[in-house]
Amino acid sequence: MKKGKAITLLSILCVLMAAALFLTFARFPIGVKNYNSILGAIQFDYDLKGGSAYTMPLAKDSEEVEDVEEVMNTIEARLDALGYKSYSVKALRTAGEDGNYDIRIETLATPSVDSDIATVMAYGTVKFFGGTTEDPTTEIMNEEKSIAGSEYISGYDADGNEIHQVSIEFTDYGYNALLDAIKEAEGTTNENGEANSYYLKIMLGDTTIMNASQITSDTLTEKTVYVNAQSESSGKQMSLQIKTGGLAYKYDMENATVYEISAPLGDKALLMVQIAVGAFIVIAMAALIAMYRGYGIIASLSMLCFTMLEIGMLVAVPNITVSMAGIVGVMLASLLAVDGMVITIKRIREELANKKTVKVSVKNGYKRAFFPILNISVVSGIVALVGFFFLKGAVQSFAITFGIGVVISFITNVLLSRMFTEVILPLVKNKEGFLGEQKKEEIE
Amino acid sequence: MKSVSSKNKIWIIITVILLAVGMTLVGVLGFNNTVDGKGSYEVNVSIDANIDDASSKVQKAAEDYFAEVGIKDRTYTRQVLNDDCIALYKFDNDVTDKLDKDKLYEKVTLAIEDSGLIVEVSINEVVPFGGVQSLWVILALGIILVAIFIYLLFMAKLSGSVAVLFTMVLSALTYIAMLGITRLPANGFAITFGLASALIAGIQSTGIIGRIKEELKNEGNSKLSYKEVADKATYHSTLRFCLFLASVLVISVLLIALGTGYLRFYGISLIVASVVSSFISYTFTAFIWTAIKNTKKDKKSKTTSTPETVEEQ
Repeated sequence: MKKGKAITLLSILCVLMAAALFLTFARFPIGVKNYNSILGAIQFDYDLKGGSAYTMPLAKDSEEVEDVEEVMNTIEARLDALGYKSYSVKALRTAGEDGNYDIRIETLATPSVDSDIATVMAYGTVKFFGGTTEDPTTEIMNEEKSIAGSEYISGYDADGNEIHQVSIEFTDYGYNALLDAIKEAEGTTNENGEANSYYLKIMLGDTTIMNASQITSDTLTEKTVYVNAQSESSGKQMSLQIKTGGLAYKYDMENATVYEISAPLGDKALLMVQIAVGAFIVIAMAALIAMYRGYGIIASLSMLCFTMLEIGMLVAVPNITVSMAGIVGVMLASLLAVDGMVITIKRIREELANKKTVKVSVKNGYKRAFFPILNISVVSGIVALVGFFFLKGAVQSFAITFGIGVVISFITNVLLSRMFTEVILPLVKNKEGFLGEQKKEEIE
Repeated sequence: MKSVSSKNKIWIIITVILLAVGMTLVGVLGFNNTVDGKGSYEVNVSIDANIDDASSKVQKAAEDYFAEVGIKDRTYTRQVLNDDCIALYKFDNDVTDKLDKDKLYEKVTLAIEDSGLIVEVSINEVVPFGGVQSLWVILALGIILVAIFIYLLFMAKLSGSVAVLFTMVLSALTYIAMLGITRLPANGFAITFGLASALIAGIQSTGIIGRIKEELKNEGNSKLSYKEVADKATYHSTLRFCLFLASVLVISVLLIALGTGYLRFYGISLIVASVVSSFISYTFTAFIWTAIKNTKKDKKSKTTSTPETVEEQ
């Protein structure tokens, strides 16, 4: 690249980077509002930021709780289904007494947390009643074995009115049990000698969600039945309750206490973590410059771009809340970026040591470094993808931030650092010295 | 050039000892499940309003009382609720025999006796939720290992993929053993560090295998044995390892120095995970790769009588 063009490009890059740095980290008032920087827009999770603590006593008209761990497992499954990654669920009672346990849920204070907690604590197991009378009272099927899943569905009827439904999908066991019950009933006759009809009623706790409806073996062709919901929120709540299993005990939501709670990792955890990560980036950049001289400057600029891109992506990608595990993911991705640059400069120096020209050394160095960096990125990407799809909670948070970081570090190592090299090198007189030419067989 | 493989026996002995001791401790004592992972107790000290820094005085009085009755501050964590009006102390063991609720109430009330604020003290027994979904973790790890194995089978042949896989599994197991030895918190977050340990080992090993491939292509190495090529590749990766460990040390020291409570433990966990994974990948990658290559070479020479050479991958 010619010197003039390099100067122009470098100037543009510097201006863009300065602007990006300013937008990423600066905070200042704009009129009556405050600009809190892109970094300030990152949504941090409960373990770093604190949130809300809901304590719910058992309702007076509820049965005595026999297995409190089962209750907490259901609550946990519902919190996971609603997308909460960092939370704490506990059962507590006064020490030394044998009373019922209260449930306390500590989680991030989101705009929907109140309704989410109400959904999570919604009482009721699904029960199926079937028989030949129009109000069947015989309970059929075991809920746990019968239901494969449930989804909320919205749509429009023939008149254009919005409808809300919840699908209940049966397992093979549930479907066959229902079909057998219907066929058995159809094989009998009533007092008038007519074949009996079979009626199915579905209840969720104390609420009837599907009134007794006639159902025949001919109409039951799918493993799914549909029940109507009054609204989107009630439909989603119903679907969640059915999908995650019933909460067999009723908790008193009206007498629940709600408090703001500090971060379990410490009052200043968020600030400390931000300082630690920021200090690490600065120290890493200084170390790169100290060890690799001129290429260290290129690597540092690339690290700066990596940091800004990572922060930007954490804000731009929707529904990301960054927990401590997510911070670990960001740190590891940063280390990956540094590692890639170390691999590259080593290859470049080896090429220079073999008496190749600077242009050829840079080209070959990046070429040789490409596959090692690709392999490391793919291995890391596999871990991130599998962690995201198969694991929940803290590990999923780690997988998300780490996965984003892997992609950005690959782009940084392969494209950005190459771009900076192409732009800066033409401006340097002693290019070999700038790249820190290595003596042949020099032990590093 | 120093040879990593010359001390293979020592590395193997060290690793076996760590695994044996650590797994035994895990088997006998279990993991350190921390306050949030096992049955425990919490003390709730609340005031009805936070006037004139009453909450700080209350918390200091409570914590002084805990120290007075012999409860060390590392055995509990504190969270504050409701604008500091409630201080929640979570203990990782049964402290009801040491704590006198009435005495604690007295001490706390005395600390803010002129304020007119109402103090409440309660001690609760806590049952935490089960947490870790072991089956899903094992399934995920299995899928990760298979996927990486298949990918590296194409990129680095059988020897490379087995070496990387071996170091990942060994690193994860050694990290678990270290949890047993160091008694670091083993809550749900520990899975993240275990995964990170396996991941770091995989990354570092993949880097070494990549370097081995390049060394094999180097005509200057055509007369070297597999062991010597692997040693050379490992040695050239030394700086990467040192830089990586130094970077992790910086982050961890900052977390330990600046953080409180679990944040400090996480800093230590990060060091342990990184040191374990770096040690395993640095010492075992070349060893496993060489062993597989030599085994294949021995099988070949039994069927043909070709002289010893390093074949280009």
